[in-house]
Amino acid sequence: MKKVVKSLYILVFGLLLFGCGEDFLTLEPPKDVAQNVYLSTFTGAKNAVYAVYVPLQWGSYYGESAVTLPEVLSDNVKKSFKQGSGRYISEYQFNFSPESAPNLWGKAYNMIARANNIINALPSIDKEGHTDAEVNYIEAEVRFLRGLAYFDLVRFYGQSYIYTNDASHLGVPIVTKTEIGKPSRNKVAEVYLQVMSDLEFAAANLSNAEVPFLASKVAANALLSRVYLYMGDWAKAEIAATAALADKSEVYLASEWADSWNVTGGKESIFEIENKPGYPNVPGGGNTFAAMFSPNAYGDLVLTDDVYAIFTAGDVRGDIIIDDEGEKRCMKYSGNGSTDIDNFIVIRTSEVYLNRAEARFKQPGKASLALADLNMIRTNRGLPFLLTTTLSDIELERRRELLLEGHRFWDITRKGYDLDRGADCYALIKTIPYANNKKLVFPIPAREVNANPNIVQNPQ
Amino acid sequence: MALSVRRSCTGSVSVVSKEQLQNTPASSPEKALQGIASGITVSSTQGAPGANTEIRIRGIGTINAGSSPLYVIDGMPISSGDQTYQSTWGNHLSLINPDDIESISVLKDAASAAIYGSRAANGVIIITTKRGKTGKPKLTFTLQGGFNSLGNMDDLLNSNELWTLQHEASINAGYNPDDPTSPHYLNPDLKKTNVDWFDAVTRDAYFKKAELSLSGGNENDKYFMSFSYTKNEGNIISTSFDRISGRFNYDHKVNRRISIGTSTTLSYGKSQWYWADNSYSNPINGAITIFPWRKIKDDNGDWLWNMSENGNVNTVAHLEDSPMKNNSLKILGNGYMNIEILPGLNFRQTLGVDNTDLNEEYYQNENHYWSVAFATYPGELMKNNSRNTRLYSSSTLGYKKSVGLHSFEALTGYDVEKNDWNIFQAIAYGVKEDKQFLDMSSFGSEGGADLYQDLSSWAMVSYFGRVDYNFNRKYYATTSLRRDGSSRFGKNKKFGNFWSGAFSWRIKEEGFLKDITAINNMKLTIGYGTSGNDQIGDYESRGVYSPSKFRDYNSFAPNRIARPDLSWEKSATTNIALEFALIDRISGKLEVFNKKTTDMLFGVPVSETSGLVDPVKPATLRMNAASMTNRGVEVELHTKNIAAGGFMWETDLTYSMFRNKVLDMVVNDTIYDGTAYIHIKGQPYQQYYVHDFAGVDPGNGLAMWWDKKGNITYSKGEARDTKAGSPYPDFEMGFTNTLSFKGFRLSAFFYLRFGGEIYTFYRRYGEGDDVFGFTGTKPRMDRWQKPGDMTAQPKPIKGNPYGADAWDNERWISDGSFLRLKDVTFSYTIPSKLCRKINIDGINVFVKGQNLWTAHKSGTLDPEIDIVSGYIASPYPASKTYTIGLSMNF
Repeated sequence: MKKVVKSLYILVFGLLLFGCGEDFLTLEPPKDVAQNVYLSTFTGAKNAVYAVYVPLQWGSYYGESAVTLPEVLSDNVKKSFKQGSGRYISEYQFNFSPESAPNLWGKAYNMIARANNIINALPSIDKEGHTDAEVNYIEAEVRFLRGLAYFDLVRFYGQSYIYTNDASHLGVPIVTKTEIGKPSRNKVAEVYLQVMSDLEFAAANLSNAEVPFLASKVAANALLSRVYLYMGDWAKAEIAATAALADKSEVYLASEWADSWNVTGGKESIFEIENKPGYPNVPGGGNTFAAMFSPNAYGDLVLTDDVYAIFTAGDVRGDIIIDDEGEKRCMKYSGNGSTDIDNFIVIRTSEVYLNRAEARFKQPGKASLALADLNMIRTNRGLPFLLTTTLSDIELERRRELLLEGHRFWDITRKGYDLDRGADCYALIKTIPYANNKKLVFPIPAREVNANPNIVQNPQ
Repeated sequence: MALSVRRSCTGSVSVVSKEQLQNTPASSPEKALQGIASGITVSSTQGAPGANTEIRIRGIGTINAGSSPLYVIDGMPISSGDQTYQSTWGNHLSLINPDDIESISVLKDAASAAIYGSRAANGVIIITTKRGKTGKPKLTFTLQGGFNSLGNMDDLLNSNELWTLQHEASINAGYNPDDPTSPHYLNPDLKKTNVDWFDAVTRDAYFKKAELSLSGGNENDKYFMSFSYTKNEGNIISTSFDRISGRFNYDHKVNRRISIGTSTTLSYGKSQWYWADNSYSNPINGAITIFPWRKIKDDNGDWLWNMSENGNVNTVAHLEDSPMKNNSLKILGNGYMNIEILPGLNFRQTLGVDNTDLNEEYYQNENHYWSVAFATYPGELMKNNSRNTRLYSSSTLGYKKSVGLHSFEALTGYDVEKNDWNIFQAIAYGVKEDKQFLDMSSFGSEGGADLYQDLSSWAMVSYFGRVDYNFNRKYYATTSLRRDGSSRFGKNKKFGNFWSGAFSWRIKEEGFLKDITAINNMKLTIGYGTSGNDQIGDYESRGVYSPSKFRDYNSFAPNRIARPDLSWEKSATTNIALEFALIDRISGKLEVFNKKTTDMLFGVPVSETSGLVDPVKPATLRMNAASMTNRGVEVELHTKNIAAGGFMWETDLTYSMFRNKVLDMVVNDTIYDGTAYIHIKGQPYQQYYVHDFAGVDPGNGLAMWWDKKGNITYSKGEARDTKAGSPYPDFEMGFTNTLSFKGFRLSAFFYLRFGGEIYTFYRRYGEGDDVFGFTGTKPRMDRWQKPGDMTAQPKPIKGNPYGADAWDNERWISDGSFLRLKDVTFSYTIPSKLCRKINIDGINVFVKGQNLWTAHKSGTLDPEIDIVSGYIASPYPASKTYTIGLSMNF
């Protein structure tokens, strides 16, 4: 019996030794932090802002698609016969289905959710002694990014602003609070209102201390000038452009221009996404938009004969176009994976001059002002000074200057022009009249439509 | 589990004995299971030594949560699957020496698995290692060697053929490939060089294995110890897997009441691996992409790294000069103490540890195409160190009592488990080749270094009890109850309750059968039980911000949405089995089951406006949603066809089939996952959903597709999607015949998988449109050439304006049925009379061939694939393996 008692002692001891309380099952992720904790202080909210920029670096956003697609679909770029990774075949053919729609949708909304969480947390944060202006700065910074995200969303998934008289056609859902919801699409006009409201708040509350790698007042104004241009609000576009140029106005000289593409944060740069080795989130270890254009990497995409022909003798921009075994490539991006060089500049001063030139030209009596803006670019690119200008002069200059910067497709559709992809286009779809414009907008990704029955798909 | 592993009388168990395991050159124990036991599908997803294996027991029990069975070695649940960060070459089980195994039991139904409760929903595989027996010491020495051959693939186009296709494609597109001034010019000199890249990246691979074991004991002390070494080359050049392991199993009786013992193994594995994914980096896919006129080395003998016209790297150079290696050290051991408190009343305490340290290393050569094309500081050295530690404690109290014809056995217990994993990663940039395996000094290179750390833990607590009863060894009843708590689930939902009940009737013992000599045995078992699944991310139920970085700013980004109600997935199985033995010759088992999984840990598609985003698939949020059933039939049959004059002919047959059906997916009746699969309520989970191919137009050679209106179109963009079958086979069969005479023994094992479609991703490269992107395979030569040609291969067109080959294309789906001669073994045991003359107790020699012959019409190199995805990323054929072995007992 003594032995039995002894054994029972061991049993009880064993259970005490190896028995565990409920706490044993409460394991918290060691590297993470709860949202309500993180965003409860000024310091937390301030640090959280940096992560809002991250989606911009992803491949479905400015890491690649947002740069390449507007070129591939337009008259600027075709798929190489010589070199490639097998990508962009469907895109070049305009073969988009909901299943193969660009995934900028999810990435942009992810960025919006990051921004919304911060904006909604700000009213109740512990300010830790910081001023209201400092809190507003946080809000302004993320609203700049949210505005950019909505602008890109509505460009991708909604018809251009002028598609209906009052822009009452379908845009994208406006979401200002993170939740598992099933929102329906807002009108394009409403989305543009959201974009304007965000960017105007940003312009009013940001400084220019962090140009060009973070949001700034000049970046907000510069982007606003583009947004108003897309809306056809010429007067506001001009005002925004002027406001931006008041803060940053330099353009490269013709002699500097070619080398300027190797400069990080150069004098034209207003908002620039810096990609560097070692930066996480940089897709595939390198920004793949550059790899697509460059013969040193995948090199899937080459220039059309059509765009090659617009560069005349003396134009320094033609000097960086090379002949690659019979195909033409514009070497703005080295594509050497040298990710610290191949940053993506979202907006720069030259564009702002061209935005203003167009906005001024469209307003009565401002042709000479428009001409001055146009000559600002022309003379610094090795082209002769013009004495008069037409709209097509301005449009041509814009096409030359902004080649491979993700503008061309939108610059055609926003004006209601027909798309003509040039004589050497070998896709089945060579032209798209604006009137027959189902193809001029991407389908909403199937994954969204399947999960959210309130989304009306773009007509196929 | 502290239960002594004892065959339950009431459950569905398949047992593989050491006799069946021996003479198996499998590098990892679980690989030996296929076809030997019914209801188990084993697929090596990569035909490479040391790589991970997919095991599915009775179909697919779950969708998004883990679907691997629970592995228990000598009573202790162990880590399984893959621990590597960079490769999939860290199969935990490959560190277990198959020769140490006494038996493997597979618990398939809930009644037998219920005592393993929580994680038994996918079945339980119980491995018991050898232990010493009373008697004189027994020394066994085993030696095996052999080689694997992929055979002659002869499937890639040669330079002449590819040139012809490219030439044709240019003409078909209206270009002149013969005009040297045209960008479309195709130089006929290209035909002069011909490299077979498949031959270049593959080889015949040799392996060898040696083992020495010693076992013995007396009444109080019993021991088994072994040492083994195995060296395996992979069929892909430069790849290998080596293991050295030792085991010590010991049991000691302290006194009449107390006994203690241990099972301990120490194992070191080393491998060199390749990327076995669907990218071009996979050397086999590389072989299909790189043109045959591209040379491996230049005239100076230096690597030609850049194959950029195919967006690829020289895969031979990559394998040879950008090696990817790992090595691991595993300590797996447990100790127990058993105290008999009163006669029949036993307390048992077990403590165990399962620890694996894994080091991975990868050097991307400075001259590597990726280095040159994508890196600022070419040359990248990556080192990962990770450790996975599992601690286990089990305390049980068991009681056994017989009164007259009644026998009881009861057991109650308490288990605790905790698992910690961590990894430290360092990547250095700008590392030059001559420094490549230097230590930390590499991390001071010009390009700087990145450091990364991750860690994760889970814990589990279980309370359980079981009661067995039998009356006169004729009627058996078992019931069990178990309560499990998992740290992975939401605050309020950590615990789940599981139970089972089973009844067994040995009909043979009844009076009406007792005297019928034609029936040797007959037993009927009916069981029902529930079990659970918690195989989700360790912290998935928590809503958190995770570390993120933008430029040099450290930040946190939203990661997950909190789900405090996330809880156990449950499955309930009904199992009916009839065991029989007839006329001293035929024995077997017939079994039917119905398994229903509810509260499935299922990724419900959500609107991406929520900010949830997945890089590849539609954004989903895991919830306890969805349910499905798996029903099936299993047969095991053993017959002695001839047994006369020392000659014996035996046949073993296994048959398994299951049918899977999705009952409910909560949000949608149909879920298209955005890749090539669709899931529809009331139908099998996971059917292919791909572009509807309508053949090749005999008039013009263009591929035709059905569009949404049911008309023919040439434009792939207009093609509708269609259901094209599911990967699940109609049934599987194993068929083994064994002939033995005196010491000679010859056996042949055929495996049949019938039905089920497979989806061969790489055929997109091999038979696709783009003859300028890929080398292609022989079937592509059957292309349309002139009006009237009837073929399934469209004419090649340069820059095909009708659209590219999508990978979700019906052309890549084919019938996955096959019949394979998996194993032929001839062995001879030298008569002991002869052996004793040279002081040896026994000598056994054998020769064996595996996968010697396969019949299939799948259009792919190897149809044996994981039945869950049905997907072949890359054509790594199952190699033909030839082994010769010798084992001696002293």
